[in-house]
Amino acid sequence: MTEPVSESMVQFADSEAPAAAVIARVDGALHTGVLYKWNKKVGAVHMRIGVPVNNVHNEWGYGGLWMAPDADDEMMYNVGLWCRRIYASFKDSKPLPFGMDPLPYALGYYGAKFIEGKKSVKLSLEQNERAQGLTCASFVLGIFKSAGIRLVEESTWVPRPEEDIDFVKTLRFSDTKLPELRPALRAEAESGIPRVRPEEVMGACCSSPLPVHFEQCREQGQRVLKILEGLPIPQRVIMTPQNVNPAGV
Amino acid sequence: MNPAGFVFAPSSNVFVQLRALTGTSITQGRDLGRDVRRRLDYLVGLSTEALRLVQALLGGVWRNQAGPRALPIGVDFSWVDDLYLAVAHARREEAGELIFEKVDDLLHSNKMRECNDLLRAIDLRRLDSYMMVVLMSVTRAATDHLPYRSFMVERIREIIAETDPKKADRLLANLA
Repeated sequence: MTEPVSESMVQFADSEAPAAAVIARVDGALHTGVLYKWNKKVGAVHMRIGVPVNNVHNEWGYGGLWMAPDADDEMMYNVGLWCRRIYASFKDSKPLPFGMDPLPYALGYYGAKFIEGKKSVKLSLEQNERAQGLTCASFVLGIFKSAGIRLVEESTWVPRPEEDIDFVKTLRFSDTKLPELRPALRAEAESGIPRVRPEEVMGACCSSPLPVHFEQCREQGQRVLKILEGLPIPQRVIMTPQNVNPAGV
Repeated sequence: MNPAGFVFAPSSNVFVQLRALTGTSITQGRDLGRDVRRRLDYLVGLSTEALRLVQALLGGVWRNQAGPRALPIGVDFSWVDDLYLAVAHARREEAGELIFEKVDDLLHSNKMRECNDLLRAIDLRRLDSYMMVVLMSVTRAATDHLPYRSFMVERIREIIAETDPKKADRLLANLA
């Protein structure tokens, strides 16, 4: 297990890591995405709901913490390749995530990943009837899984309906085309679903071996949150809890 | 040295046979262009496949041998040489995107047979472990349509296991 505690910071661009998960607090809520390197440049993909017609982004301007999971370089390189493919597939049309009308955003994670689709990447929901979409966290899990890295053992996930209902209340949707989304998400939360939180994705990246079980992700996630909340404001630094050097994006 | 990075220096008697096989007028190694080389690879591959069939019929154990195999005629696989070249020169980003783009073209033109032929023909020894992972990753969703893929995966396991058996297990755990 990697100690998610450090005394200083390291820039992702200066690190050896080919890719990493990243977390920050954005507009009061936790948000996660993937950083990667390509041709010696840093890229990022993440998915935000509530920002009209622009759900998949290729920049990360929020600072925060990054953490590379304990996986072979070959697979971590593959993460960057999938990030590029995913962004290329959605950057022009910018559809609601992956054409999953009318519910592009859903809380439960049932092992979804991306696969090659017709001239683009598409989302595979693993033929699970309860799987209807993604959150920012399951977007990250899906990317890593596509590259061959299972970060979490989803079968161990414990439903937390009360906490998920509270989470749905905090969501802000600026897209008025989605009036039905909040009640649908609430219903999903009430039914008891395996929602992986952003800090738990980071908790998985701090842990070994992969895939990581619920309890360990949760425990490590809480430690990541403590570090994150201790970052200076504005959080314009990317730091890793693992390494120690001055940083910035 | 040709663009794909290997030397071809056959005897004059070989050229006679090559001319007969390919219907071309090659007289020296440098006349061997990509198309001719591909035709030759194809012919060599056919004979290899025939040998394997005979072995299977006689009850022999089917083994996926190392080395270049046939690239089917009629499909543009000239990019495979570019792939080998990119790998040889450690241009990893270029190589990875080439695999993604070209395999995607085949899969989504519904050219499953051609894609399967590609997996069979590609010389894994001329890829590195990074590209092997990419190849497994991009074809995984089409496993049911690519009968050769399972052989390719096992071949990849063998190659990686030669230097690091545990790594082979890790890399294939979620991509086989």
